[in-house]
This record gives sequence, structure tokens and C-alpha cells, in this order.
Amino acid sequence: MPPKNRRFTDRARCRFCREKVRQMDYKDLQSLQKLTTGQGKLFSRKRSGNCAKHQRQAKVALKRARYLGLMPYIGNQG
Amino acid sequence: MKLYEGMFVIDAARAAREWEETLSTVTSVLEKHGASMEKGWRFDERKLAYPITRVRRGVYLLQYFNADPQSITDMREDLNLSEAVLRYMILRVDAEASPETPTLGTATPVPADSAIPGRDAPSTPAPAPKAEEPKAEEAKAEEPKAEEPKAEEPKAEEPKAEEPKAEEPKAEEPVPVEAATEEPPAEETPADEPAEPKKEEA
Repeated sequence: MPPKNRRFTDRARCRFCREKVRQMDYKDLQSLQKLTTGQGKLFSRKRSGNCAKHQRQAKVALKRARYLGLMPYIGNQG
Repeated sequence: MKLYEGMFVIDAARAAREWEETLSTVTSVLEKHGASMEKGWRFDERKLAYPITRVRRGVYLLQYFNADPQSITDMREDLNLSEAVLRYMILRVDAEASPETPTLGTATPVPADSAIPGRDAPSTPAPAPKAEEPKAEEAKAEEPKAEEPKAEEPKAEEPKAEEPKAEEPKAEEPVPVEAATEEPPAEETPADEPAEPKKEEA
């Protein structure tokens, strides 16, 4: 029940680990958009807070989404 | 036979013109190589992130199917030659990891016998909440999986929708038990009445 402690421990972990995502999905555009810049580049682990495992999955998911035209290779330019 | 998921990008103009033919060509290619169709969804027309062969808007067909791993390469060859499909991607499905219901906008279920429902399907985000509710009930996780990726607005709504669900049964169950066991006439003792709602709120 103490919100502060819970928040601290939650923050310490990757957000996909927190939700126990086993495999990131390329169809999950909302989460992919949160992980990319306006240009469509994937945020660094430092920026996104992802663990190594989920960052790899995000990379693959983003590339699949790009291939299918769901996410841009090059987004907003300038 | 293993479970695969195929995502097919189809020109929106073509889909509007001859959706049933396009769907049947795709499924016939898969079935030609011994695949058996599972669930399928058609996602509403959306703008492609970039034009593919000068096509700017596409309809997405998500089709699950069982097939022999060796037949996939033959499917790919046929699909590469097919003009109905702009792009496609066939992936092995990890049954435990993959979400059963799609998250890509409005989904229209595609029946296996290619009797297609028209575009009159309501454009409500019905599939998403359906997927979320059972997950939350089964796992009883504090935060649902499918919802978090969505935009910030649905975030605020979803927990609201779930919290009352979790609270209601808890609140309802103890109240009748206490009222029945301790004091059948609850009105006589006003001191206990305020105490019960406090418990519910907490």
C-alpha cells in the first residue's frame, strides 16, 4: 500500500519486465511509438529504461513494423 | 504442422474494390501448400508509414494458420509473385507469448470460408477491451499487458475500469455476510452503518 516504496521498486525495473511481457509484438504500435523519436529512431536503453532483453525485442519489433509500413524508416524530418 | 501468423499488406483501393477476391487469393495460396486456416482479422484501412510501390494507404490482413515449416518457402515464392499483396510477413507464433487478439486498430474477424462481413463493421475499439478484461481477471495482475502500450489517454481510463471490478466483488461479499450474521436489521444501529462503507472505501 505505501505508494512511494512501490513506485521506487517499479521504477527500478524495465517497464516491459514490470508487465511481464514475454515477447514484444510488432503490431503493438502504441508501445513502439513510445520507444521511438519523432524521426522514428529507437530510443537508447538509457532513455527508454529497457532491459537488454526487451531492448533487443523492441529492436526486432520495430524493424518488422517498419517493413510492413506500420512504422516509418524515416519519420518527421526537420 | 506448426502455427504461423501471416500479416499481409493490401492496397486499400484494391481492398475496397475486390476484398473478397483478394482474401481468397491469399488464403488459396496458403491452402495450396497445405496450410489450414485459423483465426484471421482484417484491420481497417490506414495510412502506410511510407508509400509502398506508390501505394499510400493499405489494409492489413492478419491470418493465423497451421502449416508445415517446409512449405513456407513455397508460400513465399507464390506470394512474391502475387499482385494482391503489397508486402507480407510470415512468422512462427509462440503460442504462449503471442496475444490472441490483435492490437492494430479496428479489427474485423475474417471467417475461414471467406464469407466476408462488409465495411459496415462499427469502428469501435471493441477488440482491445475484450482482450484486456480476461487477462486482468486471469492473471489478476496489477497492470494489464495490452493496455500499457496504448496512448496515455486510455491508460487513465483502463485502470478506472478495472479497479471497480476488483473492488465490487470484495465490497459486495462481506457486506451481506456481516449484515446477515451480526445484525439482520441494519437500520437499528446507525453506528455500524458508517463503519461498513468506510471499510469498503478503504
